[in-house]
Amino acid sequence: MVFSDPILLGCLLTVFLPLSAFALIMIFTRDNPKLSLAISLVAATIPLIIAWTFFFKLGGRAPIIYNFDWMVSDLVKVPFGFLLDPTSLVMFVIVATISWLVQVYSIGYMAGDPGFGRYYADLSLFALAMLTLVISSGLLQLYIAWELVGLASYLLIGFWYEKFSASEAGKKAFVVTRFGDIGFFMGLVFLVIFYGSLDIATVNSAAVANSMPPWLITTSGLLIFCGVMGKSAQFPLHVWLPDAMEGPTPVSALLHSATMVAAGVFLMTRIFPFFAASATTMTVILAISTLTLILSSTIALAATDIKQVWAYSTVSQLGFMAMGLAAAALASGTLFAGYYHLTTHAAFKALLFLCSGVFIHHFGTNDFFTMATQGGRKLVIPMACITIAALALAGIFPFAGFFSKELILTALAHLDNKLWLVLGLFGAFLTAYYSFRVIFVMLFPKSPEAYSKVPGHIAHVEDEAHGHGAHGHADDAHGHGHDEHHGVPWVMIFPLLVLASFTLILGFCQDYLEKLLLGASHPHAMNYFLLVAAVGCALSGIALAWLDWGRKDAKCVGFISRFPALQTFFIQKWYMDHFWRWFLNRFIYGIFSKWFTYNDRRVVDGGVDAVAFSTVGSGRLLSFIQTAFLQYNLLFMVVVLAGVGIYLMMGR
Amino acid sequence: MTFTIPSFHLSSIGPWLTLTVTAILILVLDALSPKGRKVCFSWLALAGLAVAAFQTIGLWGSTGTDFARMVYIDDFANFFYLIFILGAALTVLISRQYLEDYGKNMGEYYALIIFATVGMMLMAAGSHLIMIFLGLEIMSIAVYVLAGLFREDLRSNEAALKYLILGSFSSAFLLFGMAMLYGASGGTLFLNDLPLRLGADPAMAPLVLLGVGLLIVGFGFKVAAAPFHMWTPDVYEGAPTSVTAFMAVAVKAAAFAAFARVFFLAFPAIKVDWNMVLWVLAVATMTIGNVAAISQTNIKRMLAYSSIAHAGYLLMAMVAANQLGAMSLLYYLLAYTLMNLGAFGVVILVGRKKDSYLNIYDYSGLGAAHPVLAASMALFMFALAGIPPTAGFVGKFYIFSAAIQAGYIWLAIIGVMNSLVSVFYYLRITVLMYMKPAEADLGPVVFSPALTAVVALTAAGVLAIGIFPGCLYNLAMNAVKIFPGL
Amino acid sequence: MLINYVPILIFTVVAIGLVAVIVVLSELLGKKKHFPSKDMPYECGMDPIGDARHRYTVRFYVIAMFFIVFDIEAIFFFPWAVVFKSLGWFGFWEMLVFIGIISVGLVYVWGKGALEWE
Repeated sequence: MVFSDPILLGCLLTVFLPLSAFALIMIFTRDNPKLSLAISLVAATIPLIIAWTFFFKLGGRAPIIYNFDWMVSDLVKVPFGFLLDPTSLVMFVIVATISWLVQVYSIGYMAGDPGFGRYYADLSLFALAMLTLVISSGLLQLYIAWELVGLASYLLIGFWYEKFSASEAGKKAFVVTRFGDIGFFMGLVFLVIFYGSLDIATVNSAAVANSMPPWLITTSGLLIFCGVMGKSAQFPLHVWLPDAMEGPTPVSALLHSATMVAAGVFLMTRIFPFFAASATTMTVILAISTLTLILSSTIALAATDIKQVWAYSTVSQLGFMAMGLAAAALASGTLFAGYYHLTTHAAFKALLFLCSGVFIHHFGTNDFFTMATQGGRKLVIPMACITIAALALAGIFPFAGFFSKELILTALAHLDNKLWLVLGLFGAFLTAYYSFRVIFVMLFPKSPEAYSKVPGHIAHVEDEAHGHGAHGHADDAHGHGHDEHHGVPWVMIFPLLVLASFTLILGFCQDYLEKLLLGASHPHAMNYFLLVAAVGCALSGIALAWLDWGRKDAKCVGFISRFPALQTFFIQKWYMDHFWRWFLNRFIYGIFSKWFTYNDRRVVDGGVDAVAFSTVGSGRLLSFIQTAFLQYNLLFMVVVLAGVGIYLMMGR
Repeated sequence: MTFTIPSFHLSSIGPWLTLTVTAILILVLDALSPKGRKVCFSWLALAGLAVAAFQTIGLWGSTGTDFARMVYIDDFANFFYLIFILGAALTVLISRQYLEDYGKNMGEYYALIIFATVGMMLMAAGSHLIMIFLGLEIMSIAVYVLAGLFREDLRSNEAALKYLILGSFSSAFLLFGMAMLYGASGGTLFLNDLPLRLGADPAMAPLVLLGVGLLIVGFGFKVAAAPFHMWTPDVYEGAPTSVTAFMAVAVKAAAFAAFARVFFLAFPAIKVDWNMVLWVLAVATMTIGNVAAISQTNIKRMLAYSSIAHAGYLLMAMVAANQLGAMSLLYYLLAYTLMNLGAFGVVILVGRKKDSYLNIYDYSGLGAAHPVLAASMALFMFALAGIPPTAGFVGKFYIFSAAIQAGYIWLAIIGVMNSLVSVFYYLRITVLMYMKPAEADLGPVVFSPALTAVVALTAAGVLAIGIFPGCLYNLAMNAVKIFPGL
Repeated sequence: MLINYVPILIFTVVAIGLVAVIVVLSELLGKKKHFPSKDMPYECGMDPIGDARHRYTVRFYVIAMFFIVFDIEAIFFFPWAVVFKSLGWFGFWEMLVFIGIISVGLVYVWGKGALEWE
C-alpha cells in the first residue's frame, strides 16, 4: 500500500530519512566527519527533491490527506498523518531548500570542528522535526514536532557547550519557549475536551462553519498563540532569540531566522480560519505583534553585533508577519500577505545570516564595525549578497521584501484604526535605518577611531582577532587570523548565490504563489498613497542611515544618540532581560522555589529516606522470608492460599 | 464395545506436530552423531520454528475446536503461538555462542526448548483443563531440566531443584483446583461448558471458589506473581542466562495465555470474586518486584525482579477483565518478549565468556566502548521502563487505560507510581553506561553474528511496534473477540 | 447384594491360606544354615545397614527410568490389545506411532551410551 502510492511514500521518506540519518550518525559515525556528512546530505537531498516535485505536481490540486490511527485504544485515538495542501507545500519547499543549503554551507563553515558529526546529526534531527511539523495533519502531531524542533534548537544553540554563554543561551531558549508551549498545550487540551478533534482540516472547517462555540475559539486561540509567542519570539517571550545567536551562524540562518522561528507564524496560517473566527484573539495578536515590531526595531538600532542586529530584525519581521495575518483576519482578508512575507523573509533573512557567517568566519568577530575596519567589503560576493538582502529587508523595489511588505501594509490600511498602519510604516522606517546602518558601515568604513564613540562597540584589540574570539570556537584548529586572507570556499558561496537569486525572483512570483495558496489571484487595486508612503519610509530610513554612517564626514553616532535616555533604553533592550531576571528572582525563585525546596526537604527527601529505610527494613523482612529453605516457601504459599480461600468464602 | 473415533484434522495442530518432529529429529541426530562432530542443531531448531510459524499464519482466521473439542483453533491461540515461536527462536539464537563457551552446546538443549514450546502451545490452545495441565507439565518439566543444564554449577543445580520442587507443588495446587471444579461442575472440565455448569448448583459455590483460589495459586506461581514469586530471583539467577531469558518471556507468556483463557472464558460470572484477589496480587507483585529490583547489583537478579514487576502489570490487565485488558495482555506480552530478550541478549554479550561480568557496574563506560550495544541496551531499558516511543510505553498505556476503563482508577495510579519507581533502576543502567567511566578493562566483547542479530532485531522490533502499534492492536483486538463474557 | 462379594472373600481366604501353608512348610521342611549375610534383611543386593545417605551410582537411576518407560508402554498395550478389534486400523496406526516415539527414546539412550554399564 505504501509503495503503490508515491505521494505517501514521499511523505514517509521525508520523515524517516532525516530520522535514520540522526540515529545513524549519533550511534555509528559520530567520529567520522566525512561519513556523517554524506549520510546527512543524502537525507537532506532526497526530501529536497521530494519537496520540489510535490510543489510542482500537487500545487494546484485539492489537499491530500493521509490519516492513520497511530495509537488506538477505546479511550483515545492518536492520529498520525500528512496533510499536503498549498499552505504546507510552500513551507515544505522553504524548509527543505534552506535546510539543504545550510547543510552545504556548513561544510565550509564547520570544517575541522571536533563536533562535526554531532552537528550534522542535530541538523538532521531538526530537519526531521521541522518537516514533520510542516506536513502533519493533526495538531497533536504538530505539537510533538514543535517540541522536537525546540529540542533541536536547544542542542544547536548550545552546540559549543564548552562555552558557558552558549549552554546558558540554549537553556534560556528552551525554558522561555516552554513558557509559551504550556499555553499551546493547554489550548490543545481545551480543544480536545470541548471539541474532540485536533485534526487541522476538521478544526478549520468547524471554525468556518461556526460549529464551535465562540468562547472555545477565543480561549484556545489565545492559548495556542502563547505557543506562537514563544516559538516566533513575540513580546514578551522574545528574549531568547537574540541570545540564541550563540549557536553557529548557519544554525542561526536556518533555525533562528528562516524556518524554526517562522513555525509560529506558520501555525497561525495553518489554522488561520480558526484564529480568524475570533476577533478578540486577533486584536490581541495585532497589539502584541505591533509592540514586538517597534520594540525589536528600536533595539536593533543600537546593536553592534551583526548577528544581534539580524536577530532583532528577525523578531521584528516575525511581528510584522503576525500583524499582517491579524490585520487580514480582522478585515476579513486572506492569509496571503503574512504568508508571502514569511516566504520572502525566509529567503532574504537566511541570506543575511549566511553572508554574515562568511564575515564572521573570515574575521573571527561578530562586531561589524571591526569587520568594516578590517576590510569586509573586499569579500565581494558576500558583500553584494548582503546588500541585496538588506535592500529586500528594507523593502526596496524590485527585491522580494518590497512586494510582501507592501501587501502587509495594504492589509493594515484596511483596518478602521489607522494607528496600526502608522506604526507599521514607522517599523518599516526603522528597519530600513538599522539594516543600512550595517551596510553603510561595511561599505564605507571609516578609521577605527571614528567608531570609538559607538556605545557597545569595543575598540578592537589586536590579539582578539585570532581564533574566533567573540564567536566562540573553542578549537584552534580552524581559527583564522585576519592576516590569513584566503578565499571563501565555494560551498559557502554557492548557497549565497542561490538565496540571492531567490530574493530577486520571489517578488515576481506573487501572483503565482497567490493563485497556488488561495486558488485565485485577486487583482490588487494599487494604493498609490500607500506605495509612496512605504517607499518613502524605507528611503528616508536609508537616507538617514547614509547621513549618520555612510557619507564621508558622517559623525558615526546615529541619530538616536541625541536622546541619551532612549539610547540607553534601547541598548538595555527595553530592560526586558532585567524584567525577566527580576520576575524569576521575585516569583519563581522567591516563591515557588522556596516552597519546592521546603517540599523537597521535608516531603520528598523525607519520603526518599522513608523508602530507603523501609527498603532496608523490608529487605530484612524479605530476606527472612526469602530463605533458601523451600519448606518455608511452601508454607508461605499454603498460608496465602488459605488467605485467598478464606477471602473468597467470606465474600459470598 | 464400540468406539467412535472422533474426526479430527491434523492440520489444526500443525505447529505442534512440526515442533515435536523437529525436537525428536534433533534428539535422534544428537544420539546417532559420533562424538565430537558438530551438528548445527540450532539451525534445525530454527527451521522447525520457522515452519511452525508459517503453519500458524496459515491457521490465521480459522475458528472452532478440534479433537473432540479438546483444542481451540482461534486467533487468540495463534497470536500466542507466534509469541512462543518468537521467544523460542530468539532464545535459540542467543544460546549458541553462550553454550559453546560452557561446552554445553548440546542437542538436548534445543530439543528441550522446542518441547517446552509445544507445551506452551497446548496451554494456549487447550479447551479442556486437563489439556492445559498437560501442556503446563510438558513445558515445566522441560524447563526444570533446562534450568539445571550446567550440572557442574552449584547455583544452576539449586535453581533446578528449587524450581522443580516448588513447581511440582504449584502444579499440584493447580490440579487440585481442577479437581474441585470437576466436582462442582458435575463432571466436566471443558472451558466452554464450565460457566453454565458451575452456575447451576448454588450449593457448590464454595467448591467453585476454592477451585478458583487454587487455580490462582497455580497460575500465580507460573507467572511469578507475589507472593508466589520467591523462587524467581534464585532460579533466574542460577539458571543459564539464555534459559533465564526463555523462562522470563515464554513461560510467563504461556502461563498468562492459560490464565487469561481459563478465567475470561470459564469464570466471567464470578468476576467480582477473583478480581479483588488479583487486584491485591497485582499491587503486591508490582510493588515487591520494583522495590526489590532497586537494591540489586546483579543484572540477572535485577531483571528477575523486573520480570516480577512486569507480571504485576500484566495481572492488572487480568484485573481489568475487559476487551481492552485482554488485548493489552496480548500486546504487552509480545512487546515484553522483544524487549526482555533483547536485554538478555545484551547481558550475554556484556557478560563475555561464561557470564564473567554480571554486575551492573560492569556496564560503566559501555557507552564509550561500544556505542551501538549501549544504545540498544538503553533502548531496552527505556522500553522496560515504559518510555515512549518504545513498545513498552504503548503496552503500559493500553494496560492502564484498560484498568481505568474498568473503573480501577487506583490500580492504574499505583501502576503508574510503580512505573516511576522502575525508571530508577532501569535508568541507572543507562546512566552507568553513559556517564561513568569504565572501572576496569573487561576485555573485548565478542559479537557473534546470531547474538548481534537478536539485539538488532529486537531493538528494531521494540521501536517498530512502539511507533506503529495500530496493526498489532487490530490483530490483538480481533483475537480477544473470543471472550464474549468481557 | 453381599453375595456378589463371596468370590472375593474366597479368593482372599485362599491367598492367605496358601501363603501361610508355604511359609509353615518351608519352616518345617527346609534346611537351616545361618551365616551373617544370609541373616541380613533382603534389599535388592544393597547393604542394608550403614549410612542412610549412601550414594548410589547414577546408572541405577537410568536403568530404573528406562524400565519405567517400558513398563508404562506395556500398561498401555494391555487395554489396547483388549479393544483392538473395535479400534480397527486407526488404533493400530496410533499405537504404532506411540511405539515409534518410545523407540526413539530407546535409540536416544542407546546412542548416548546410557545402556553401557562400565
